[in-house]
Amino acid sequence: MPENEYFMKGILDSNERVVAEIYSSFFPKVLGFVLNNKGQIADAEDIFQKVLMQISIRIRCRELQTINSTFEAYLFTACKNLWRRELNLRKRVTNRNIKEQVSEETDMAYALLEQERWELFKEKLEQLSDNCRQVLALFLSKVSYGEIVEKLSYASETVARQRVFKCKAKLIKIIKSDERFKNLIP
Amino acid sequence: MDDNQEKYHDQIDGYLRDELSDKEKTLFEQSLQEDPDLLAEFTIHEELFAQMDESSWGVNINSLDKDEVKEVASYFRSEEVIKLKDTIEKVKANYHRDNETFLVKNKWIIPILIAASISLFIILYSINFSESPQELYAKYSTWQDLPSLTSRSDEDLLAKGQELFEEKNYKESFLLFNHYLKNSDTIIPSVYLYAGVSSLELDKYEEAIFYFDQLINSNAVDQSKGYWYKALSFLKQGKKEAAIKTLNNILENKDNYNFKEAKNVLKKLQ
Repeated sequence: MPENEYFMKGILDSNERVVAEIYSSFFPKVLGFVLNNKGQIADAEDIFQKVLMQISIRIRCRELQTINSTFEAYLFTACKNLWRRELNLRKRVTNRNIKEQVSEETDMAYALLEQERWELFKEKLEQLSDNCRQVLALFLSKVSYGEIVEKLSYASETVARQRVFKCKAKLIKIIKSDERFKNLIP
Repeated sequence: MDDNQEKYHDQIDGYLRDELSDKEKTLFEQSLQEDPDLLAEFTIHEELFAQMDESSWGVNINSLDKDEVKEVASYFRSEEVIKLKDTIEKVKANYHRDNETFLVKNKWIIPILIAASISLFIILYSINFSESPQELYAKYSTWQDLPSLTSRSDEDLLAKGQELFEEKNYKESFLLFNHYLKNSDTIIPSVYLYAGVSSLELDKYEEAIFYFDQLINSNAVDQSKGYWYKALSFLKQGKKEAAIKTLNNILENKDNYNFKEAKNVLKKLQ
């Protein structure tokens, strides 16, 4: 999409006019999402900025060549993920009463790598059949086999289990065959 | 590897779907340490589950490669990215300015604004600028800025407390938070705020100040909120001198909570 390339190049060159266009076109939606999910204006500004930096690095050093959806959808999803991550981390910090020890750059590095993995996972999930996606979504959300049988009208739990096994094996196989997967196993 | 997948399939799924007994869990964790093939298979399963579970996003970061993290972190310090950051800062500042001045661009609205501001000026000038401590208390005791406790999904009790608080059932919320703090060994700054404000609403000033002092003396990030709410406690009681003293504590550091508001309130008290 030519529009995507225009935005990506603008980010890469730190082009003030393009960045301003990105800000005025897409920031309000992100702001709305953050405000609706326990955040403040400053939080929205912070994640928006971090996501733009993330995209810049991914184009420059991490082989992000194209964005397959619209730029807006991509940016919004990345912001949503980053804000969700931030909320989860805050929750963890208050729970254990510890302060994060890592530098901001290290934290942003983690966020970037997690975003990449999430995209890999989503992309591979998309390659499965509708039925496989459905059953795996339920299975991975820890829905019981009894309920899975009911929701997807399988003949029995055994059938559901076989289906889960097949779909999961397929998903794992296509994830493993991807070049980007090599860093996943320690 | 595919054979292993089948062999380990049930154990791993059972473990990750919380279907095992405590004993089975321990056994499984043991075999994880002894069997590298199982560990490899487990890691990818764990990843699949984590990707689906929004509430654990970003928490399960142990399996990332440390060298890669370091490398990416160094990109965030690179010249290009810092330049981009500066550009965004600039754009952000302009964006705010534009948003604030967009009314002015509408030509017809200017005369109305001028008329409105003149009458506002007259109204303001005709009343006394200094306000009593109680008036100031009434103005600032809206409690909208209290952080939410419901994100702590593991703590139903706290969510219940917040609900009671929001229904202005301060008697019950006070009892609940008081009970919670007595029985909890971790320090949760926001809970002190809720306990303190509940006390304040019940005119239990000593308790209120006790809780806010606890917050002030903690090493929480938002420790300075304690000063602000302590000052409000003094305002409600009409204790002007004590309020001024506490507000001055806020002015000691620009990063303190409600730095600007504290300045305003001080001005109006004098």
